[in-house]
Amino acid sequence: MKPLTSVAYDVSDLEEAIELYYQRGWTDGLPVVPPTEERVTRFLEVVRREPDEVLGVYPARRRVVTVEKVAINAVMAGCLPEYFPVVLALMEALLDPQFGVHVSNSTTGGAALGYIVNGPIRNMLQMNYRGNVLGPGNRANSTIGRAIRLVQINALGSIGGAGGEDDLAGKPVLDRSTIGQPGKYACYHYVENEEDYPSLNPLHVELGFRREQSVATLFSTGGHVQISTHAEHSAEQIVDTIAEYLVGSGRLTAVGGNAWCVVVLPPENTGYIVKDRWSKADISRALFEKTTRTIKRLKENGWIAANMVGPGSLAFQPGDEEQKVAIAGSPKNIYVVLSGGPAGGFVHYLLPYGGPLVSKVIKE
Amino acid sequence: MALSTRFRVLDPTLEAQVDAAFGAPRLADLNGKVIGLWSNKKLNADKLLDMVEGLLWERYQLKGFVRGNYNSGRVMNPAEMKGVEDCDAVILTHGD
Repeated sequence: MKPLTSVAYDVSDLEEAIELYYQRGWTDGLPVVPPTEERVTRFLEVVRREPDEVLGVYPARRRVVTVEKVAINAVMAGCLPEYFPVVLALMEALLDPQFGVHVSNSTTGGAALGYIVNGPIRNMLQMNYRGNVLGPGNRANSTIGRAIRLVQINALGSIGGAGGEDDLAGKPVLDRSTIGQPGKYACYHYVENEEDYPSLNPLHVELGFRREQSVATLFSTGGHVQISTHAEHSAEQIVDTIAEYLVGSGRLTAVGGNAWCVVVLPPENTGYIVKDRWSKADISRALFEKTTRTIKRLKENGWIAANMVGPGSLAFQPGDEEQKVAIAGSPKNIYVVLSGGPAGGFVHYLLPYGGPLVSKVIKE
Repeated sequence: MALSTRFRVLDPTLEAQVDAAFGAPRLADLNGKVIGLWSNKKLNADKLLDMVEGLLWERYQLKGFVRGNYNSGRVMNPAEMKGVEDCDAVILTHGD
């Protein structure tokens, strides 16, 4: 293996190492694991990749991202070496031009990244797809997400500034998030439960991958909304309630466009879906239909869909009766993921802040 | 004899690379050129572009300007790109 080329700093002990990273503005506000050459090398050995291999480029800030830099940040996040293949797959997704990383890297809107993991690697790494899937508690779920965030901060320049105009080391604040959000620490990490409901295809199979492949899917979102569905005891009732929340989100979007929606169903809801013999495609189709409205209907209700109809106006225009909006561009853009603990009918939905979901095979 | 606890830790950051591959080739001269001004319609975006247009008229013998709008939260769609093909260079507002 080629030698590492990152600048190295001498420290006298663990405490000095931790403080060095704070002083340099290289943390997310939480202490990091000091990335020694030995620790970083272990990560590279697991994936058998050279440190100078280019994973991708980030043109807006002219960054060329190498495997070495991602490994350093993954060590800092607290990852184990065996998690590194998942981190690399997510980084490849992040740097895919289709993903459009600059939006979530720079917006004032406080976008967080989210990821979904499918396939055998979930159990190999003891990832959590049951209670508290979003945390706290599971090392793999949390540190993989944190690794991606530290890369955004350190390698991609999305320095948050922690309230000041310049961060501690005088670097420009390029993450100008107005309020920020907790998802910016470890991402939204939904690992899918593929075991308990075999009649429902896991997400990666719905997306065209083979069931035996391990796949990481990345998205950028403004956040989640939790929906309580305890009074709903059928697939139709559950979907009706979710649709009401989706319409109330104010995020109906042009039919035929690229907008998407992720819906996360825990077991208590999934049980009814399976009992009523619905597929994931049935859920997506129903949510699309139940959230479809015309522009005329929106205006009649006093909604100004500014993103679609231009500067805000409730005046009816020709075509308003034909132009349709829904929670996503099409039913296939509504992604259903099964995850969560055995009790509690708490559904999550997440809407986009940026480009499409991007999936990459995890190279083990 | 006490064991040394000293060790070395690595820099996690990347610096920007100035490389022609990242940007479109620069125009040698703006005289006689058509400049696109694309707004993301955020607060003061259009005012900023008006000011830029004014300054460019003062400094160069331009052929003209083309105006456009786009949503900066995603990749531009074909409708938003309409008119770009008539421009020699495009200036756009991005972010807030």
